[in-house]
Amino acid sequence: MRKLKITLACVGGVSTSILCDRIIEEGKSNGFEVECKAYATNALNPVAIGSDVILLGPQVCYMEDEVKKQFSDIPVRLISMMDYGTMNAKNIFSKLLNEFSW
Amino acid sequence: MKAVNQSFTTKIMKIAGKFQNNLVVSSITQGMMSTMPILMGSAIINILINLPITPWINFLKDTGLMVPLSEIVQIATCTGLFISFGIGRVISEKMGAKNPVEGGIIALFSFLIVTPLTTVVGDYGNAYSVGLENLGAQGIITSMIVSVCAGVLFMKLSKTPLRIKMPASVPPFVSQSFENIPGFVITLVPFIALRVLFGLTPYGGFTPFINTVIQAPLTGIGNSLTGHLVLLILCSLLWWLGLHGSMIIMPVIMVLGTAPLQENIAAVASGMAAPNLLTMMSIMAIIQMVGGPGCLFGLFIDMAFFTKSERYKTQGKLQLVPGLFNVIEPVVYGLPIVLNFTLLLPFVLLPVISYILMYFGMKLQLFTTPLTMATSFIPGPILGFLASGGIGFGIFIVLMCVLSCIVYYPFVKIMDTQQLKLESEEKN
Repeated sequence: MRKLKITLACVGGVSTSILCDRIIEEGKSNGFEVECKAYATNALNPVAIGSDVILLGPQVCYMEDEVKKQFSDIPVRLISMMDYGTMNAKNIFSKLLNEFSW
Repeated sequence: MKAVNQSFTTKIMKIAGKFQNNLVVSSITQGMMSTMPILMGSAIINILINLPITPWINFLKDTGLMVPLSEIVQIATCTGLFISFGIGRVISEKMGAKNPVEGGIIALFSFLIVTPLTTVVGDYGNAYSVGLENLGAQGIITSMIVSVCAGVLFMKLSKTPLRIKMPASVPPFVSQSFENIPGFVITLVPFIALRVLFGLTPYGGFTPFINTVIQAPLTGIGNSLTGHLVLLILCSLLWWLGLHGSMIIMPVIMVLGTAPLQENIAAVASGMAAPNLLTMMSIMAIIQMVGGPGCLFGLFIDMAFFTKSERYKTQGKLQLVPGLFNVIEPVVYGLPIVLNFTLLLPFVLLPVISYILMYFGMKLQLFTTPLTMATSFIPGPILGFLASGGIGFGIFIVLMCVLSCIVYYPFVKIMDTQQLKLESEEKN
């Protein structure tokens, strides 16, 4: 199984950890061993280092530029409000697969 | 229209984000939160020693437990003391300290330096005492100011060459603690100056000065019914814009509302009635116990059980479980509530109405002001009974949940009807 490290950045909490579990499941069904954890945006250093992608929750979308600056070698993407609200890990993962062709 | 909304909301989010992530604001919030267990724990002890069960109370008195337990509650009111360490530690950690505990200790010490001391001269030596009120409710704002300043000053000094360098053979544990001594001592200087200068004023010290000049008027305005209603409206509006409203107003609620809550707990522990109706806990009750911000309990129930459209039926079931435990992110971003004009009115006004009802309920002595909230991850109707506002308060929260179901119903119906129309058009 290919390994992936996906880091979620949010204001942290219950909803994000549910999303993390779902992303790991979705990854497994696509043949990936996913490590997915969620952190507050100001706590990303150094835990996010080595991530294949950093995903930002909608509440912190305004931090996109700052996070990109902090981690210039890691792609940073926003989770759409709809995907986040409905915890749609399937959508999120397939969008990532399409873009990055892991 | 959507494009304009996007950039507008992004701008507001940037501003709110700056406020939330601001070093001072976030250090105060996180520092205070780390000491919350003390407040909550003492509130629970407070409930226990005030249970209106005579045999239990007699048991406590006869076994000699009553006095120590009441004393523990009083000691726990020294919030100013605890948060000074918490804030100092968090702020030095955020500024990159190797050992943030040093920052905590120096903030603690600086806070004590500006605290008035009573000296009783005795024949065999002096007895010193500190009034608990200066370490507690009356010292909260002083503590915030002092611990932030001490933390920042100490960190800035630790980055200068002002250090005691020990030879390499000394173990790092020892040499690190010596390194920052000059910074430590220099940081204390301004606070010693404050102690001396304010000791000469009629206020009798820096802490009483801050309390009289800043804290009392601020908490007076901030804890008025209007002040709290403004905060509630702001909280809902921020969520409606896609921001974490609760987190953003949390520092304000904590700064303004902790002191009156503290006074309430101290009073009840001494067997008196709580003097302040509106505190941090009264706001937290309305923001959390009725389904989180916006009193969404009714929305969760209505959406899960009373909708007919495919989309809302599925979403309703998905949101119900987190929602019952007062987790609202899924519904805020998933429904969405963000920029949803149909739900704007109940989302903003229901907390206001609930709060006013609560205020009058307390005025009419139907129940007392809530003192504690064990955790927000318990469904509202149960949580109300655990708030030590009496059984009356528990009933009040249940009634608010019912009110929420009634108020949100027509709005949910409007959205459901629109969605049904969309779905039937799609089918054709």
